[in-house]
Amino acid sequence: MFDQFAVLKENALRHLAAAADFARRVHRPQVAQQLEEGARHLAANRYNIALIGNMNRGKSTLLNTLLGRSDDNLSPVAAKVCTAAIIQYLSREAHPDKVAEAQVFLEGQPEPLRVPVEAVREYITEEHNPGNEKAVRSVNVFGDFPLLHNVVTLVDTPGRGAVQRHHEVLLDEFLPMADAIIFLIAGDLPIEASERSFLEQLRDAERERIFFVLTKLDEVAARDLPAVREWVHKQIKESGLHCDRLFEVSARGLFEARRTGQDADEIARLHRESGVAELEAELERFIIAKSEKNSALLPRLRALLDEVGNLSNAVASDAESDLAAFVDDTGKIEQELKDLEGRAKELRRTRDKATEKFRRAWARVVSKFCRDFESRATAAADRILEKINKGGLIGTALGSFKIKRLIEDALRREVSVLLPTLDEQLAAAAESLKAEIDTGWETYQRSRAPTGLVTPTASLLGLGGVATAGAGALSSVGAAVAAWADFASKTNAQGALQALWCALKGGGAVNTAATAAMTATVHAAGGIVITFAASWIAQKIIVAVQENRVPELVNSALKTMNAELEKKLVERSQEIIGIYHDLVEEEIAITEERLRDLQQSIASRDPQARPALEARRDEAKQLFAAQRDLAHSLRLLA
Amino acid sequence: MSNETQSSGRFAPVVSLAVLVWRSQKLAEQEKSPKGRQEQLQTLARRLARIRSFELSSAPKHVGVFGAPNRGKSTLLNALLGYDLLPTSPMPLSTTTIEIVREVDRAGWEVEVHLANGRVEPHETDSDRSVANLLERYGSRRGATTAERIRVRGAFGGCRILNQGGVLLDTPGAEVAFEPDTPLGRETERALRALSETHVVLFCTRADQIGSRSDFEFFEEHIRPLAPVHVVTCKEKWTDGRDELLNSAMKQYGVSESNVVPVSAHEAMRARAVGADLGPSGLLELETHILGELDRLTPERGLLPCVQEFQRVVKEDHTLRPEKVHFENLRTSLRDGGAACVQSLNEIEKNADFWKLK
Repeated sequence: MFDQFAVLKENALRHLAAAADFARRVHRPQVAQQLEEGARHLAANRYNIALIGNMNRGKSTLLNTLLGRSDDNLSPVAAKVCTAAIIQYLSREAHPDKVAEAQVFLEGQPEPLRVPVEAVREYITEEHNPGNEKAVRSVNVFGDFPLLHNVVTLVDTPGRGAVQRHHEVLLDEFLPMADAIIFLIAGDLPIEASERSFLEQLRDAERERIFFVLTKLDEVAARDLPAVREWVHKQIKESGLHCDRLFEVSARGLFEARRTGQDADEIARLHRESGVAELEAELERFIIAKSEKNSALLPRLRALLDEVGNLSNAVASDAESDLAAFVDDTGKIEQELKDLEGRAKELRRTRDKATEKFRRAWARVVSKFCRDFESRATAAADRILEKINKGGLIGTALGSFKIKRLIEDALRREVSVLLPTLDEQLAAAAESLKAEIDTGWETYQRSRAPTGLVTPTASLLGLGGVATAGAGALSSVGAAVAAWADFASKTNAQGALQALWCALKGGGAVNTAATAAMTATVHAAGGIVITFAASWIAQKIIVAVQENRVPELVNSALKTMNAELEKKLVERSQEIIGIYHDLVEEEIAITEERLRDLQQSIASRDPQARPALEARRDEAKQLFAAQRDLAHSLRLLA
Repeated sequence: MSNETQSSGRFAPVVSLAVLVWRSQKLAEQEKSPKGRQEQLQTLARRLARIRSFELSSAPKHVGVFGAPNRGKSTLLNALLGYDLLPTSPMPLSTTTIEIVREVDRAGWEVEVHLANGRVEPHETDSDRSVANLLERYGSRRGATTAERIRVRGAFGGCRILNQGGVLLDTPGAEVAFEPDTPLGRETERALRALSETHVVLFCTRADQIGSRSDFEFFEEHIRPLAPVHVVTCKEKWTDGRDELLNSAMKQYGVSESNVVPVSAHEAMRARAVGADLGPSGLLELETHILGELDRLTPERGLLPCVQEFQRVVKEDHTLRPEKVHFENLRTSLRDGGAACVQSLNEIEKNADFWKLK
């Protein structure tokens, strides 16, 4: 799986590392940092594919086949054992020390046990760990899994219909993190009542991500096959999900062929005919096109490549014009440097004026949003209260997930009405800030055009590219963080909120570029509003109902929450302003420094100066070509 | 036929013992005995009731198969009958209880369909195919009409259980977590109704679904209280040895080895078709078990184990001992109850403690 993507990823990582090194050498530490940050993000990115199925639905066989294992040492295939914990299979490259080992996380212990991969059985089978007496929570297996390509993580989940009830909790925690879910159905026992009710539970969250795989068809009499297919489709449909495609897979033959070491042609044939190849291809296609991670990752990678393009292009043409200037006398450069000072002052003035205007516009927009949200949230809270009073939910659902989800859904609906406007208005504010600074920059460099010495440098021009990508980048961070926060909030809403802010501050996307930060803020705002407000209001409602003071408590809760939200949103504009401030300063400094360097090397008649410039120009050209190729592959892939 | 004051004892022995057990149950409630103890008494009472109904009624004894959908219940009955009569499929199929009764002299078959509106439609036929078609039409999800119950009468010369006066009951798949208004819900209700009139309960599961939660929950809630029952597993889904299969079934369902029978109905049908030995399929073993169980349900064979069980209870917990007069009733009725009962009495007398009065 993910053959093409794996190659692209590897090349991109190499390219970004080289580009970052180059950026540092041409005194663009910010760009270098950005590239490195992006590379780290890309390197750490893995798609999670979760396998779900009741006991004896062919899960372990398919798992081993997808892992490319030729033995069953890891995931037990025999019928008498069933997996007792959630197990994540990762390529050993994903391990901090690149070693093959397993980490076993036990209940209540933050540090995992580290055991050899072969010893995993001791923890994951009913045979060796009956009723999960060892209190295993989850296991990470880092091993040689050729087919994962360091791009995919397979998540094996305990059989849902098994007697051990404690598994379900784990499963519910892990599912939200999956990019795709494989739901296994055995042809000889197609969709039983317990599976049906599980599908119904999945209905709300998992519409698109589920791949239905029908196994064990060889155990079904040929005359029953059409009825089995029809039955499965019907059950899925009646449970509220849809199944465009039912993958029919019989992995055992392929698994056996690999185990007994059949020749490559035979294995390739079985790979095709078993339906495994098709499933893998569809999973790959789906994940690349639809994964939430990619809505951030791929645009961000494109933006980084653009940035490398802009940087290398600018450096090459700077070097070109510096080479041309070698014949000129240094007096001209002296004069240019003097003029630059004055123009830099003007640029700074333009920038400060623009950022101040931006700050005010941003605050206006945020304040309007918060007012609107408050009134909508109040109305939503009233409706929820009414529903609770009417439906007699109190005492049964109150305090449980149900009520929180009710509130979250309601708030999500309200926020989703307001978000497009907020998005648009904040984007307009940032856009006009960018336009004004661009104009200022043009003035700064155009008046120097006669010398041909200064060309627009990378970062400012690059900003445009990054900005467009930024939307994706932030929405990605926003989505990921929101999902994560959602997950965390189940246990601790306050902690989740803090974690969310940490993730935003530390998470790479924010400092990629100003616009990215902006979009991030907006989208994260939605997440914050929902998780924050939902748990807050849920708690308040519970208290309020107990104390019989519903309206005023809920209202004051909403007001406090809103004030907090507004403050946090306003704070975000400071970050964008800060980024523009630094960018302008950095560009001015670099331009002046470059001219001074040039002046000095001409004056000192340094014999190395010319070859060094030529080498830099050539390296920049190479980088430019490389990023163009990569961008092309990326386009092909997507 | 039998009447309760016929012997010189006031009641027949089964009734006398049932009264004792009932008294103890009341005491256990008052004393708030542990739940396990109360269940033990309840199981014993149910068993006695079954023996009593067996004793009173001239109707044949019902042997029924129960379990989740697709556990091979109908397939198993087909194997026991030696005919491909009951509809089978990999999806839930049976919708109603089908009762199979032997009529020695009958040349063909009679299918009596009891409809929901109370009407009874009799169908006579000479071919097993048309029996199968009728069962599919009225007793499966393939048909348009669902009968409340279907009775099939035929000679069934090859079926040992029917020959010994048994009646076979096929029931729809049943689950605990059903919604009342779904097909599965209605089918589960029908199965539970049939369960209440079944003397020998066979709980069917698939070897590869031992450990499945839905099977287990149904077993716990509806089957275990009727103990002893037989867990029948369709062994062809099992890749390891017979011992491991027995072990895992015993462990999962908490039953003894003698109550687990691995059977492959498909294997039995294949063997029948070519006239091969039925032994390896496990079918003969199952038949023997069922016949033995039918036998033990007669008062002659079934009473003593019940008395012994009760003896154990009151020995372990003296507070549950009923009144003197009831013990005396039991003793008298046993003494006057015929040779088998006198034998039981002698067994009990060995433990003189049992008659010690409160």
